[in-house]
Amino acid sequence: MPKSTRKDASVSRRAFLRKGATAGVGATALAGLGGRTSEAEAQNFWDMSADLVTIGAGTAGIAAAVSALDHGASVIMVEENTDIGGHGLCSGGNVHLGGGTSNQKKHGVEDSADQVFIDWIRHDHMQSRYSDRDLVRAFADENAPTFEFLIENGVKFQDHLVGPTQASRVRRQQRTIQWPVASERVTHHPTRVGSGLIRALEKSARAKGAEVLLRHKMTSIVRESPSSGRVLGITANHDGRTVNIRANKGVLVATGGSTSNVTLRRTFDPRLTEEYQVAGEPWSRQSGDGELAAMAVGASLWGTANQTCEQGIAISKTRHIGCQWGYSSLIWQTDSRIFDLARASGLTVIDWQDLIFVNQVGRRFWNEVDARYDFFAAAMAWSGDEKKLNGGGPIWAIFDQDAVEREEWDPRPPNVDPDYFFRADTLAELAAAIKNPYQTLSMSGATLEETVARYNSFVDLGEDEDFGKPTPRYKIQRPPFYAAWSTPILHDSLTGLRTNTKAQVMDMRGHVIPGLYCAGESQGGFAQHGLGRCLVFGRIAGRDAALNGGMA
Amino acid sequence: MRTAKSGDPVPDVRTAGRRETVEGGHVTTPDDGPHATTSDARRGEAPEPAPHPTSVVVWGVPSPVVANRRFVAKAGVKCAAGCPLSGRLVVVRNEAGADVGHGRLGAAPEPGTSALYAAEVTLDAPDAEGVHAWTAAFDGAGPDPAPPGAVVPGEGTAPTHAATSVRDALPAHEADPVLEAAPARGALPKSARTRPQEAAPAHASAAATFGFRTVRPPEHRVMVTVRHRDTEAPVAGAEVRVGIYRGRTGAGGQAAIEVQAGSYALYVRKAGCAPHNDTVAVSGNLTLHVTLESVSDTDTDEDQIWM
Repeated sequence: MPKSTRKDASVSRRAFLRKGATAGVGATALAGLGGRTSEAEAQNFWDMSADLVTIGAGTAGIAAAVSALDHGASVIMVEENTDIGGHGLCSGGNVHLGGGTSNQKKHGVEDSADQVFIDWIRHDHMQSRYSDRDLVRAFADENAPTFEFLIENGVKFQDHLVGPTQASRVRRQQRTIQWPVASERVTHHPTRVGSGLIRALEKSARAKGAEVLLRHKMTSIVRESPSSGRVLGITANHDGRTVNIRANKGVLVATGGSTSNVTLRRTFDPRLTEEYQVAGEPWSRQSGDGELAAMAVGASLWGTANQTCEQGIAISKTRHIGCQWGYSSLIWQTDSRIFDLARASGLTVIDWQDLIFVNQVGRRFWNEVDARYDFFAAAMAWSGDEKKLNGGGPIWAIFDQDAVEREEWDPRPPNVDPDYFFRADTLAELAAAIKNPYQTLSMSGATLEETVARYNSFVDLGEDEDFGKPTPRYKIQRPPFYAAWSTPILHDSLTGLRTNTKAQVMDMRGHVIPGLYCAGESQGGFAQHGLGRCLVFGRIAGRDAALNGGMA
Repeated sequence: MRTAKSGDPVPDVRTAGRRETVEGGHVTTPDDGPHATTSDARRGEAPEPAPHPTSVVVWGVPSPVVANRRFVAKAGVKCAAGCPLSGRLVVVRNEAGADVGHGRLGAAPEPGTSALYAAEVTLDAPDAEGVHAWTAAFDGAGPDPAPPGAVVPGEGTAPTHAATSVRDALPAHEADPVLEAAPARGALPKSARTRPQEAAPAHASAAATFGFRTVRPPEHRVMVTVRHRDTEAPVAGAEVRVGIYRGRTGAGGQAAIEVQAGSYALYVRKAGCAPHNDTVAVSGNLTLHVTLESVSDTDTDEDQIWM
């Protein structure tokens, strides 16, 4: 069983600092040693070492760990959260893998690696149009083997096959079975079965010798010099203490994407300002830390058009309204162990006819039934705030007591969050009541009254003359009135670091950065949603690091 | 000083709703708080408190309503400071600004609200078919319902929600019934009657526009029976729509809806069930049978293949 190693961190760090290196370890610090320090001195810098160090212990990180272990490497997984799993743990466990898997054969689906490739380079589908075809070829070839890899490592799937979905033209999507140990789940909702994927792989990884460091936040990637040489390891922070971890064969960026990083996500879409929340939070953040640390040692981004291809659910309608994180298929129930962070579950909307959406100044902006990117564009249109030109500000669902009764909602905490849900006897008072960290303007009661009166007139007319909502059905008239946070919520990171087909990170000149890998949503070049590509490239990265990562 | 007059143009429903009024020489809006006026302060006099903002809502309006038929709507008024407004008058005006009904606010806040006082107002639908936009107005400068020593007509005899048609209570020629008309009938809450006049805060005026659609008298009856698909039990409380006409099933799962002849979209909805959509042609009395299927918590997620 391959083993990671560690030594007394305090001793080694003192030894390193005695040699005159500056405080602030990381790429610059180690690079500052240059050729003036001996290998022995440099070795004193490290507190721990393993062949592969994964930054992140989510879907891609764990898949890489198992794969590396299978090929004889030792592994340390560094995870900033209090538990492993990332978004995968609260996901729906939908694994998009085909190419002729045993599950496809069982259900009579004919598929091949070539068919996966052909589907995922389709020019007529926005989730494949902008993909790097070299990456898709590698993905296609590794699809079926990755599915069997999951089976071999204890992942259990429900006995059906869904699809075709996304760019696929045959059924390739299967769903895992929820992990049976409740204390090891972050959500118990029957559709949140990703725990079955994550926990099975974790169990396998630990059994094979992986070391997991929780609450360790990567602070930098250490390279021999800032723009050349090998990547040697990482620095991390644990409870205010620096931990330096040597990677003998490779460092894997598996930090889950950049959607939670407002500055980085706005690199790809400047509209995505701070008011837009992120699916999967507050459990795990798509912090962009991995991308930024990799770019600091010369890494390049890749395939950025995928982020704005306006297909799939990179931006999503909020379905659970009146709470901060109301992503469509992820509801934080009170029995979740992170409910104190989530604070509210939200009111699940069954019929979008029961409400109208207004922007932060109280005006409707689109047909509420719509869920296409035209809806999101309208929601993100300028609200009129002269100090905030980007982003559209909060979106509020406005409804009345009749709607509450039709939907059978209980509009009280913990179903709603007092910072994201408001109630008043009249519309004018409702507008005045809306106070939220992201509400940059006061909503005028007169404007909201005008908006509702006009909408109510459309109900009488049977036609929405402004936005074409099909047969507006219900007036908003019976007190009390409610405003519930319904701002679109973000999800996928569909762009990230450039890699080759071995998941090796590349620089702006198109050269491989030796010893640095990337997989999962931090990897650029491929717009497929979900777990499939994370697993495939995680597995590729782990294997390649184990077999070839030590080479110059 | 300007207050709404009979005959003033009523703004179109699609732009109406902005309430402003002239109180003490300046315009107040619902966003103004109950603050002292600065003009008083500049004169070195003790500032008079600004009137409390108020707002109006109207609900329970049937739509469509048959032309010329009488219907009842509820109009509520809320003071931003939560003042009791029992006994105060709400007047309804039509598109031409004519007063068409009024009611006095009830003794207690509406259930589920903090301090929304409401009146039931009986109204007569216009002759003309179409969509109408009327206004319910609250005049903050209107008389206190019961000045000390005033004789209150009908004291102790009227219901809590005194509702009437303005045609019954007020002469049609009255220019400003809000300001001039004393309560025609109806007792006032004791709290309002005994409140010292000098303690009564001033209130800003407010109005709200509401709409409804008038139609010709229906010709046919559509009886819709709703049952559960699995149990075949009748579904009570289901919303049934036949075009613009609507109803709700009773305990037996039946709703009777009167409509004119024509072709309509049929829509049946009950919480917890998948809605039923269909089309129906009506040329005589008709009986329809609809089955609804339950949707579970997880079903709402089935279309979400993501994440």
